[in-house]
Amino acid sequence: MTDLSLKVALENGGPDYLGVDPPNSQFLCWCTKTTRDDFQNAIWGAPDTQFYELCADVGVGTKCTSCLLDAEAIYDETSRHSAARGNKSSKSNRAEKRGVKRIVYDWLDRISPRVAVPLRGIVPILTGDGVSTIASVANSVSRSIGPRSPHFAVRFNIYDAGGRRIDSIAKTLAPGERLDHEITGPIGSAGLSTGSCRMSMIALSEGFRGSIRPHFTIKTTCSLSTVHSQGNGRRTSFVRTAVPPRGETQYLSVVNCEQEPASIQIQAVRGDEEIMRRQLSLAPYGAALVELELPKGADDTARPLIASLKSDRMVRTHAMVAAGDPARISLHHI
Amino acid sequence: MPSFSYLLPAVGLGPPPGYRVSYALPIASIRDRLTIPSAQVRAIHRLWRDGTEIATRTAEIQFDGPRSSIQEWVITIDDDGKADWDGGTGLSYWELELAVASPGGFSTNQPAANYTLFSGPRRKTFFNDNAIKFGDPVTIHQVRELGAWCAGYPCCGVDPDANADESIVLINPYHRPGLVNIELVGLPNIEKIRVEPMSARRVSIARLLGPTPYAWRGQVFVTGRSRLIVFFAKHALDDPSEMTTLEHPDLYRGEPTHEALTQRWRRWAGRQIMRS
Repeated sequence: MTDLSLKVALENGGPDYLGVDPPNSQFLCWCTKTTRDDFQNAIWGAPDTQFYELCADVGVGTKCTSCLLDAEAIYDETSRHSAARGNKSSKSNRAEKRGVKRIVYDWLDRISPRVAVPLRGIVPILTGDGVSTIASVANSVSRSIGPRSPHFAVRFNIYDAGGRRIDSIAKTLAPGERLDHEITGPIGSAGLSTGSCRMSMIALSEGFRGSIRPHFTIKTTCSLSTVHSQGNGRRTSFVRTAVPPRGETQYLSVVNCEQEPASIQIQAVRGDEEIMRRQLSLAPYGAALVELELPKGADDTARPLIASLKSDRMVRTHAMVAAGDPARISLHHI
Repeated sequence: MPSFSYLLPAVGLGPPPGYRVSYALPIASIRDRLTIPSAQVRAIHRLWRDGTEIATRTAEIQFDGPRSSIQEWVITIDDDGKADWDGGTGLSYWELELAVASPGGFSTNQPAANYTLFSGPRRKTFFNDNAIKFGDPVTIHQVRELGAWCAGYPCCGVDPDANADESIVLINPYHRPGLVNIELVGLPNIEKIRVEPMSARRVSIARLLGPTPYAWRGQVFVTGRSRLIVFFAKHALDDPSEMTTLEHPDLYRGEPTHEALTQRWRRWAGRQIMRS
């Protein structure tokens, strides 16, 4: 646990007994002098009580509020154990064995050499007349935390719609540095073309991951929109959408995450009625943008409009909305 | 199997001007989380603005194996024109609570996720995946490891040539006032913003840059002693109600960059077992 609550309470002038107890005291809430054990006992005593009700009952976090995050961590951890304990009688042996196993694993982990966790992300790319994609990784430093992330070796591999690698960028990012790479020009068929960028990051020394998760920005002549990358694909995705207003077109953007060709089925339904179905194949690491031929008119909540995708490979799917001329574009991972 | 009596509450933004917000309760996912086939679940959806609960909707859903008494519950919120969206105050937000109201429970307390749909007759459609009110493992891990709450977004941007601005949407669904610091990385000033309990605000990045907006792109951090729910809204510079999208933040991660080799081997072995 942190000393965050003490630090903040002190900054705020704190209650007059501050300083009497050492910083590593078991107090959770300095304002009400509630200890961690008191709070834990309250959770055990009322396992069905929600977090904020419990805080109100016990008094924790009701004055300067600086302990709320610590309280939340205790609540989360204790509730999990509490919930698991409800079935302990039937599984007591297993729980004890798990305890021994955990001790052995912890010991092995302590003596084992440590290795960097490879981080990966896949994002779609869109380019076209007035449309570009900026792939970004930021190793940012917050003034409130300081530089807690290490140097990262970052690599972007850019693929066209057919899955051919067309570019590659590599850079080492020190804390405080970022890499923004703008992709313009046709990377697929004419008009709005699509492709993908596969990003890999590896820490060059030990630290925290910080802000290193890759993002991508779709830039048009009249808008910006940004989404984070994701590491793994899915075989099925769906989104409940709205009947597009005039001037709006909706798409599904699909990227094949695997080195094998993917067979994909896209479907749109409204209630029980099938509106469209489309079958397509994607090359290894290939990408496609499929327009959803959706009905026009008023929304009907009784007959929800749902677009879905099924694939025999892992694919990354985004719902894309383009509105107006020139278009404002957004992508949403589904 | 653990048993929880409730799912962690979800929080989302109310409608910007001209929009309708729709959220379909994920009935199948809720059923999947039940520890016994027959149970009654109570859903409470509350809409808040400026400290006042302005609408409440409830539903009792009886699950009986594959059947449920309600096949679909779609909550819609229409813009009532009462938010000062341009000024950034008086925004509405909603909370959804789900609890088991009969014997039985949920196998996890993580919420059953579904996108919220933002749409309107003359508005661009977009989706948002909401936030957890408390119990977010990433937040808990971050505070444990780093001793601070730090949300943010690495790719914020203002571009007057593209008429593009971005706003930080701050929702305080808690009972105490929230005070956060907004840091635009690389710029000297830190903006302090106060959000009253059960209230929501919008803070334009273009306005944080100064009286004359200029092109800026980079990381924004939102930090505080007690955290708020944060979203990042991209919209037109000359009309913030012309929304493009609404994204959840990316927390500054407290996860370590390295792991024990034995841990990696165990994970690899686990994957092989799962495959076979």
